[in-house]
Amino acid sequence: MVAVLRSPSRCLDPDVSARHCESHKQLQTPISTKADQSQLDALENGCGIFLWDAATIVQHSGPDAVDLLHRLTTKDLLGVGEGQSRRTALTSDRGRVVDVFLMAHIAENQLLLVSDSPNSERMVSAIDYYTIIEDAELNDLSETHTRISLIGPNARRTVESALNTGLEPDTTARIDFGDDPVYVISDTSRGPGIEWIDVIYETAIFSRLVTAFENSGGTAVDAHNFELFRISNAIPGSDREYGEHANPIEAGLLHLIDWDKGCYVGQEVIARLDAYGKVQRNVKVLKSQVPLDEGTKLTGDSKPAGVVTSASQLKPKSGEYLSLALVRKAFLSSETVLDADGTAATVS
Amino acid sequence: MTTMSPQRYVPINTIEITEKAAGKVTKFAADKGMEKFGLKVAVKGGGCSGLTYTLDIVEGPDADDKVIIQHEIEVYVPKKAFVFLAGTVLDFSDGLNGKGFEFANPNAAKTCGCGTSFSV
Repeated sequence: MVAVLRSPSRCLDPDVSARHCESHKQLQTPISTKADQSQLDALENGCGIFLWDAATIVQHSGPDAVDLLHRLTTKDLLGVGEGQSRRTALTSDRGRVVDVFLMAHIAENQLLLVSDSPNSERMVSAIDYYTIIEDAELNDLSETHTRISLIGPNARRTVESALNTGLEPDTTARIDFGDDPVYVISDTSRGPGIEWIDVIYETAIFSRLVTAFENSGGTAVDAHNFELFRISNAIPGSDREYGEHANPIEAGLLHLIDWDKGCYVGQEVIARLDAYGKVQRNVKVLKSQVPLDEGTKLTGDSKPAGVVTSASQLKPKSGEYLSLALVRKAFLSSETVLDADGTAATVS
Repeated sequence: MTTMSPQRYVPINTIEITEKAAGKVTKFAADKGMEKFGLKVAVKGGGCSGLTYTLDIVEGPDADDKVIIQHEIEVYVPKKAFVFLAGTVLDFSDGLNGKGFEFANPNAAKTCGCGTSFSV
């Protein structure tokens, strides 16, 4: 029935924890099993503020940093100039997803790499492995910096008001918040019509910054309602829809592949999957009358039909619980009813 | 002239450049008007299999390069790249079906279709 959403130790540093917990109860408040419509409305129609409990934040610096990432990942990154960003996928030589991250070009020879994964070591070790003669250095900031995502059509306005600045659309900017630098990064890759801005800052200024966003019209969103939003918009999640178990095409990351960019790690395998129609699964939203569990195997016509990868335990206004699943090709049609361990789940 | 089969490797404390490959390097350097030159052989991240061979004709070695002399050609290998290249033979394949410079690398567990990248 109830769940605590954020670990207090990660909320902020010890000096301000009491103040934070008092003034931002909505980020830690236990929830009911019903979706919070005000939080979902903020994400869909206003500005939802989602604080990541853990995310990968890595500084990548040096004259070869952009070129190296361009050679390693699925997106063409050579054209990403200062003040711009692009989301890209790092895949293994087997074509499986290692991580997906936003590359923000924050200054000359300075990048910020931001991913949804709580395991920063995964990205750092993968890039480090391929750094041989390149002049590029990685610095993991995940423990000292924090990430907030502002989501919704008013996200940019909220950031502008809170940080007292103007922002161009699709921009990456360093903005001084008092004496502290804050990095604002637009992410246009999350889905059609979804405005998404990531804000990266030193954890110590957490409380002040969240208050400023709330005072500028943002609504704090807890992890459960954010998860429901993510699932309802079929946004692939780290170690759920994508990870070492999936290739980027089946994991709903097709839009992150530039087919004409040339070689990157895993390109040959991924190109072959696409060219020969070998992709066996796709990410689909499932609807059910009771909540599903992650990892539940799906069957259709008594045959394996896929696996549930994300499952919201919140009941939305529509009355049907939502999940994401990797569904096998034969069962992708809308309204196909699958069996999820005794529960009917309808592909939407 | 030295010929090379894909199975042929050299001791792991060096890399080898065949006489034919050395001749091609000398010709490319002459075309560029370089009298003093060496062949820089390295590995960088990227390519379908993760690691890509690079070849450059340069004027001299960098401080951390291992220098190997064969067929009157100086070959420079950055120490960080040498661990991926130890025991490799560099040959040149010409003709209509030739692929140019070819690497036979005993460290490569897998290579991509075009042969320019590998994984270990």
